[in-house]
Amino acid sequence: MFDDAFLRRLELLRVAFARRAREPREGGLTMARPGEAVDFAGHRTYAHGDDPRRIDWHAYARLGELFLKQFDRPAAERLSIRVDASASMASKLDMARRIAAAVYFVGSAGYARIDVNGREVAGAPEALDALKALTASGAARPELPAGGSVVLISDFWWDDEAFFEPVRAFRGDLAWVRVLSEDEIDPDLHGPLTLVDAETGESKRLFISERERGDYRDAFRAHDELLRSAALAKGIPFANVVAEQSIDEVLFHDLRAAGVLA
Amino acid sequence: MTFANPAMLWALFALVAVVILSFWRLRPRAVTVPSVLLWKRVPERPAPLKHAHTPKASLELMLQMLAVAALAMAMADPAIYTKGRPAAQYFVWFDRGLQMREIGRAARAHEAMRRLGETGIYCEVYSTLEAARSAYRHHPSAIVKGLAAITDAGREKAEPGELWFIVGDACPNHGIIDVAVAGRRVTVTIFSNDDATVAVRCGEQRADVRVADKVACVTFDVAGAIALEPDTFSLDDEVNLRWVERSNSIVGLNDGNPHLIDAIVAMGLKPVVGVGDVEVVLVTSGAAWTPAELKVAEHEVTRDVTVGPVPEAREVQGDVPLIYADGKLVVALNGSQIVCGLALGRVGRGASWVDQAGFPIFWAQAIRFAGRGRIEEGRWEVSGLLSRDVSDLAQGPPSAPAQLNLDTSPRKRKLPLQAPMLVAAGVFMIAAWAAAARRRF
Repeated sequence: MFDDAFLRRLELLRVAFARRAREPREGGLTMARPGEAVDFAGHRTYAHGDDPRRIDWHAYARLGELFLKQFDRPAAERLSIRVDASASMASKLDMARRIAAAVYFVGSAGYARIDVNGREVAGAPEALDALKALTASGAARPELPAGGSVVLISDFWWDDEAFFEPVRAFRGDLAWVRVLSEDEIDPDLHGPLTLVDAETGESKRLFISERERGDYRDAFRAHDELLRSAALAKGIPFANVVAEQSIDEVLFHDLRAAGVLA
Repeated sequence: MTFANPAMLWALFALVAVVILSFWRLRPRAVTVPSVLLWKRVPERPAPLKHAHTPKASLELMLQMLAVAALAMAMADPAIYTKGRPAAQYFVWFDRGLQMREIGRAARAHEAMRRLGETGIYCEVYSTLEAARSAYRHHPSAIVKGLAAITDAGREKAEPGELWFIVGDACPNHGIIDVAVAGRRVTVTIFSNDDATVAVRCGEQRADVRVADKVACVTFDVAGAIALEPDTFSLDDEVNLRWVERSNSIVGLNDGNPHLIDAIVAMGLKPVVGVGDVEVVLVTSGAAWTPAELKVAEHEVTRDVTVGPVPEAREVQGDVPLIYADGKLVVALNGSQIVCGLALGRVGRGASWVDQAGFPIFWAQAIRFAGRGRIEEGRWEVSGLLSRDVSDLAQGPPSAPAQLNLDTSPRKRKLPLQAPMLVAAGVFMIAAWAAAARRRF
């Protein structure tokens, strides 16, 4: 999915949305949560972009090279990656997989336990297998866990209480990554059409002209604003991603700008 | 506008398909979208046929229909004829006699007919010459029909301005080998080493040019046409042609000449009753015949006729009794009257009945048949030249053939429209494609 060079670049990123991640703790400086312990795990070579506060200056004094101190995560820390694999994601699932894989790679450096859609994975191969096993079908929405750090990757074609209620009830750190195709943002449809919902099969007959497309764009903006408002109210980082974008741009720009990664 | 392949106009029904296809495209097609969540918020406006009523869509449909119509018409090979006076129509009948099959005459007649068609002048070519007929089967300006059609046409067609030429060879040494039209001039080239006659009849007016008479040029007004007056034949109003005693040269002992019987049939005589086992030898020495005196087979035979067995007899259906003893003699009867008597072929030059009288008879009959139309106006020039000796027959076509020149009135010119139609179809197709590409909603 990613080549070595890209993986090396991913090492420069970290999960930024979780409070644990936002609060500096590596080096034993800060605890993420009261009562959580941090154990020294070892060193690794310093790379450009690493937090300088984690440099082991004693080692530098002895060896003349920069090493970064690494710490074991507390067993309770868990990162959940939730990928929407409903039928509406068919054209966007590949991008969702890539984002999820990248989040896994980034998160694996700071989380002891990571699961993909509820399936706990140990190691990159298993994570990739779990992602590849996803197929876009049905209308099932990914369920949120009770807590922890959760990255939800979806097209978010929801606006009902059935979606917002679990979000309100969620006690943890949540990040939304919305993946849409260009056709969903500005559909290239015209003429007499029967639009069929990929998930529910619900249909709507419309004669689509420039006027109807304008109405759609207005509805899209309103829906997007609704999601943003909800995210803002809950302090949820919210990233909008276009499926046709490059993964490089998505990870190193969009997700960073939204505060999902740093 | 006329069409060479009118059957292709059925392709115009494709217009219906174009219209149906256009409406078919107006039906709402199903498109699967990730979600109709937002589309449900778009107000539904009742405009099911809005597409069809947009000017651009209408223009596209119109252009498509024009393209199909132009293509269909191009396939039908349309043509128009320039305006002008009712033109003379040329009816050319090529002889299919055995003589015409010799020394390349068929091929030359074929070529002549091809050139005639290429002039673009409307003509109906009636040919008994198979080669010529097949060559013109698909020519757009020619309607090639067989001999039976000649009979029908001769009886039913009476178009103003018709000019009928019935050309052929009446003896081994005569034959039409070329017919050409250049401007207002029609040139009929006759191959002959003896006297040859070309007869033309326009309505009640007849003209006969016997090149043997060394008539270089005969100019006559159709209002006062020259009557055909063969020196030994006369025409009556009832029975076409009556043979009057000519000389003592009617002795037929030679090869068959099937074209003659065809000619007689075509001339409307409708001979009937071919009686076999009859040999008729008509000898005319001395006194002139009296039609009442001649009967053939079961009829009384005059003193001038000898009847004997003939192994090959031919039967021809018609109204007038005709006995054609192949290879011997032809006698046509109308009741007890001789309609036409003609020995086939010749027995030595100068001895043949044909040489001296057959050709005029033939042409007189031809005139009788052909004289259905009329030439409305204009002066006609008929000229004939002939210079050939029988000894040259074996050497091929003559170098100085006989000619019959007729200066006719202007006639319509054919303007083919197939190519412009194809171009128009292409333009319409491109325009329809462009209109479809530019259509936006």
